[in-house]
Amino acid sequence: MYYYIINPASGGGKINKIQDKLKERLRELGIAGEFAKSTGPGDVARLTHMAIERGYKTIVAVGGDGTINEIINAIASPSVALGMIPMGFSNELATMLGITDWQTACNILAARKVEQVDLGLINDKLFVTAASIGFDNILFDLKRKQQDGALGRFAYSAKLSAAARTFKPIHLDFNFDGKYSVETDCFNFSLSNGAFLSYLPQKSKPQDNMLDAVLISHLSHSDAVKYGQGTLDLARKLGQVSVFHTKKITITSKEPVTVSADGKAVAETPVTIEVSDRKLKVIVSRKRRF
Amino acid sequence: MFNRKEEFVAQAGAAETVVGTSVKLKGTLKSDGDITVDGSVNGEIKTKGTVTIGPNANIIANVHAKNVNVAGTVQGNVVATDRLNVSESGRVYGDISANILSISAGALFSGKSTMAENIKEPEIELTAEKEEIVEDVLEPATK
Repeated sequence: MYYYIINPASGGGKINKIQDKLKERLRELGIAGEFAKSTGPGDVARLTHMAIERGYKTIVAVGGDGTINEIINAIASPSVALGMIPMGFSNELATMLGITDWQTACNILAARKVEQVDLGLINDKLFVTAASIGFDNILFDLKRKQQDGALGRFAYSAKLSAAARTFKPIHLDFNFDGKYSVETDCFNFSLSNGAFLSYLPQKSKPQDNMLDAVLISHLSHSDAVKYGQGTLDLARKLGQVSVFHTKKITITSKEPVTVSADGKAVAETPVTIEVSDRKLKVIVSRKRRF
Repeated sequence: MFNRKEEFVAQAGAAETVVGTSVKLKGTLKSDGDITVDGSVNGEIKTKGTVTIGPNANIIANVHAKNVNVAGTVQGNVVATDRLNVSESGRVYGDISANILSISAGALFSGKSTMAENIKEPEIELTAEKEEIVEDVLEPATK
């Protein structure tokens, strides 16, 4: 039986509008299971522990990447599978797994095709999509405020433009697998566990036991705005973009800077990020990207 | 070869590992796939694929790959098990070894060259040890 953990705050409360329809659809498919709502920070982890103690083998995140991040950090058993119904402001994992909306998600949960994917590890925290330093952290903050209703469309654009104008690249030192080191000014650094970034080579998979590091050294104001809007074609900005593949990376900077994972701030530099020995079972679509 | 920026970008876009223009890398960069460098590398580059050295690249390293395309500066030995192309903006200060060698007019090469496939044929003159600016494309058939 499935255990559904609903994060009512995800995506600005999107779930509250479709909750009844969702439950009805899951009943039709014969996978209604049990529902639990998180009530605040740390509650998703508590509910996950409780579900596992009660013997549930499938936990479904009804939320975004942040909710999924809390669940994977609480799943200790390798026999438990994770399903998802995307409701967050960021649904990178669901998108890569071919889960585009809640209706598709229900059908995919019913079909229950399970794959095993890699997990990244930052200090003692697991992540499944990507870790970031730099401009992405400003974007996460802006998108969260937009989803919460604190920023309208025009206010969001104005804030994005201002951030793109004032953001100063961060000087970072990287050590890759203890084999080579790289230093550069970074507009943004992402460490992706698979094909989460469109400009990465097709070979990048969340099952290759590797992480893909993408360093963007600098962007003009207009390109930074396009990056924030997701419309910048980075494949045409080579020279400003570097790509490396690694199992383990150590990052240092003069001043501590925030490191986020799955869209949430989780650490500060200096930091070591690596492929975890632990793997995650996930329910995927046949139309997944890997 | 990438005489125009667009061609370099097209080649770099297909690479698995890319060292961007402002990046400084120290150590051994090893890969099974293609590597593109347009920044600085100090150490060693090894791959079973193709190494593409862009016009802004400054490399102090030995390079070992199946194919090597040079449009920037390399201070070190270059071994291409298949093909080595040095374009007109390319500068190579070191010994080179390749199965197929192409050096464009205007390129600079200072070192010893060895045509790997012909090493077993002593009757053929294979090496040049003087510094030279090569004016013509060298192909094995011209030797």
